[in-house]
Amino acid sequence: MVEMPVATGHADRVGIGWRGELAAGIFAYIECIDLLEVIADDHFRAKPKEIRALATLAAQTPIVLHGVAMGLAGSEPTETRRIESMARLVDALRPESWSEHLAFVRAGGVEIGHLAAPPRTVRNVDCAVANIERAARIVGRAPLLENIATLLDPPACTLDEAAWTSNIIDGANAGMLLDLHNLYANALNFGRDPSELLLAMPLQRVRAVHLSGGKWIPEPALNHAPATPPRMRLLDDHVHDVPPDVFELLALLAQHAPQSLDVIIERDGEYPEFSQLTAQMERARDALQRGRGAASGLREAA
Amino acid sequence: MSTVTLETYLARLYTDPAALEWFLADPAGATRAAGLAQVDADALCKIDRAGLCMAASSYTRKRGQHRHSKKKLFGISLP
Repeated sequence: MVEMPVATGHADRVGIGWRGELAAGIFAYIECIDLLEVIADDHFRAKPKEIRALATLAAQTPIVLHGVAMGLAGSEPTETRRIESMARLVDALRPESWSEHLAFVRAGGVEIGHLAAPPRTVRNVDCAVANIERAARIVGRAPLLENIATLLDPPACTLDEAAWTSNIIDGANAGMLLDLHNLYANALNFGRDPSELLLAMPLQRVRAVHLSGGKWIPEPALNHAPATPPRMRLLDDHVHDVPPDVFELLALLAQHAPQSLDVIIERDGEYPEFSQLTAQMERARDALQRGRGAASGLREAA
Repeated sequence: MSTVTLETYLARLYTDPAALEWFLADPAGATRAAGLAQVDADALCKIDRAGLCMAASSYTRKRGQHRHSKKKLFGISLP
């Protein structure tokens, strides 16, 4: 039977993505960490010893699994072997939830090697919903679905990002993992107001949040056109601190989404002192509290 | 519109520098040769070219990183 992810009544929680390079810091600061997110694909071929180590970790701190290569929002059927790998890991570790991206990562036998935004069309929504429902049946639980960052506004779209996301998540009756830096980057890169884009998302479906950072990179000069000054785009690279604006988006989300939220800080390289990461976790807690306070103030005023 | 055909062509543009170069030089000819529906070819001809090049470059870099990264659970190999 497929379980729908539901709010469990716990308070908001803040954690961090498990990375081997951060292991020592995570264990040193484990009391400050409410939950850990483990990249599932790193362990699909794990030996029993590694699975036991992960299970030991899960026994100490709640874990969630995060997949990165299923391509659930591709218009081709997701490869069964990839879903079955996730199902085996979910069975072995019993995480609180699992998640994947609203992206395509391959098509027609061509592996892109990373997350790409498909053309956002009604037909693509139907394909994505079918993929998600099949993955939920095989794994036994529906995934939380994450919005991705893209440097290219995909061509041939008939739906905007928020409508496309809502249609898939509602159609699959799934929860959302809202990556606020992805949303922020897409809004800035394509001329939208980040707060407006946030409020257009299916906020009642959000169960989890990703926070990360990025850097500004210049657009290439095409056709030998003068490149002074080049326009810049925000690249979501996970190797920079979470920018202040993204914490403000978290506060806004907490104001408008009354359900409890699990917030994960993602860091994939150029690792700072771990105290810098715990400081970002504290800023996330502060943003959540401010957002909850603002919502409470509005209710009382009404 | 065939979403699979269009996604496959996008995947090629992201991964095959020669296909990207051909498309940028002659979008109408390249999309016609790829067998895209006219509506998809028209959409591709209006694509954000800078974004396309940035995306392709980003994916190339990511594929390179994947090839060189071997994740270890605790930052060390388990015995």
